[in-house]
Amino acid sequence: MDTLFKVEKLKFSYNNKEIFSDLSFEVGYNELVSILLPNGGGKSTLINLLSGLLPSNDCITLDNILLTRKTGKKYLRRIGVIFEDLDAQFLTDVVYDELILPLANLNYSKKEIKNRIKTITSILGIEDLLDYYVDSLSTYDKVRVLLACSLIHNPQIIFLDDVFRNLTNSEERKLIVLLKTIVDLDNVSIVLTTSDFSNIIYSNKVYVIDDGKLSLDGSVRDILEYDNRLSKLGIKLPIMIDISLKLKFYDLLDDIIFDEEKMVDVLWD
Amino acid sequence: MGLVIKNLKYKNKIDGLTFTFKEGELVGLQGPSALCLMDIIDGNLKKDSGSIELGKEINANFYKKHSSDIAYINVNNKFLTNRVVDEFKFIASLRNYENDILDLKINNMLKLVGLNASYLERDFYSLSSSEKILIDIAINLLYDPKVIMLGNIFGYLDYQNQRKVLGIIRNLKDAEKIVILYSVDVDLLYQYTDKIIIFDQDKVVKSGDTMKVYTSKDVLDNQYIDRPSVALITKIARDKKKVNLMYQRESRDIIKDIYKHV
Repeated sequence: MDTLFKVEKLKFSYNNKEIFSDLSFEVGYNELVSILLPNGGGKSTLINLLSGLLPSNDCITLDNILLTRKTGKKYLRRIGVIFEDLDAQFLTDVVYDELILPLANLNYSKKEIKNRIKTITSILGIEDLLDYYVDSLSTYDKVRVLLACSLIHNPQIIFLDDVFRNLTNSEERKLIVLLKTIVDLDNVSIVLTTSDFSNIIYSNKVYVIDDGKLSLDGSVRDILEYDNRLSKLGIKLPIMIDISLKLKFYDLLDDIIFDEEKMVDVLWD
Repeated sequence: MGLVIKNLKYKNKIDGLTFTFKEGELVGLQGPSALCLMDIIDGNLKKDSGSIELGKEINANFYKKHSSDIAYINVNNKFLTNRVVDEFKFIASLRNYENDILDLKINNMLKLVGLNASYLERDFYSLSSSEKILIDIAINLLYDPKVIMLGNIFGYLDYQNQRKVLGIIRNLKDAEKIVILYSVDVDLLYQYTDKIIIFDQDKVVKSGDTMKVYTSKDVLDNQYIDRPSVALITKIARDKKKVNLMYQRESRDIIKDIYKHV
């Protein structure tokens, strides 16, 4: 697959402590890529570097644009970001105003704004939230609205800093499906950071970072072969994956199953 | 004595909660309204009606004299100083703590949460979210509170630190503290809590002994709330396949049971 986004030998130190050393990875077009790091492993720092908020060593390329001081503006127009602190990212009170803001700043016409809001809100299923006050939204709805804001200006890639925190298990599952839908429908790639394996299950590619270096990479199933290593990194497997792996070990299952009813059907059919 | 809540009401979030939190028990809270309950107990929100007692009625006067009796640790807590040691000392000064025992107590509290004394010199911005939570727990335990409320902190802790905090909770229970834990991870609540209160909107769906509540038909059949996977697998196997699995708390136990019945 062609490469949309590339990080080559990223180095970053803070207070004489090396956070990332020679970190390299790639993202293709229309890909959902997960970066799995333990808590304290630099998730937010990485997103800050990828989104140009922290200076990097001229090693990040998006669609042949090398991120440097000179190209920063051009680069920023092609990306979207959601940071960990959801509330700090809202600049207006009402959802509709929040969506218009980036487009108005980029001189979109009224018709273009209307069309784009219609498309994005329909993909995210938030048409009914447009008149809501941001403060009144649940955490899950805030994430969906921020996703809409980060997608509204047609970026090529969006970066998500552990947006799953504070979501219930069922909301996490809904969001994972939603991210996959966005990648399929909106011609965009997504890079997300997380410490929780349950959030990466639909990813096209997974990179595991340990101590600032790339430790594992591959498909979700490739990574699952290293469950002991993940456990040592402090990455907890979701309970259904944990049960599936154990049942696989005892030859009672052939595959990972995420749904309880399906697992029962497979075990006793 | 316990923390006794009677017919508590708050806006459209809590509609008449009655529950007694007992010493030496870990009570889990499920559902967003639980955060309002914790804020009310901590004095950050004012209840509409009902009563809360911890030996005596909890009201504005209670917080003036007994604010150290209740500790609330959550991820939104903001530190007021830049360095860990300064935060400990600042909080101690607010509560007129004696200086000669303070250093010893601070070191003991750090040890309790599995951190060494070198953390005292660290700036908060250099700490990971896990480390900040552990420091926050240490600061809050300095005053030997009777009630310890933990907000949704487990999502911010890696696996090792989750185990560390579960160990701290065990010690607090042994010390006859009232421990209250809100989590979005229903599997964690099912596995570790003694009692549970499940909120759906403003209503309490069910409360009581965790195993009894989570294995009850009305909870397992309620598709509007998150249900623990281990209990759900058992229920589906029993109902759909007529397999006599026993309700277990841990995944390793259900594996053994499945192995016997497949």
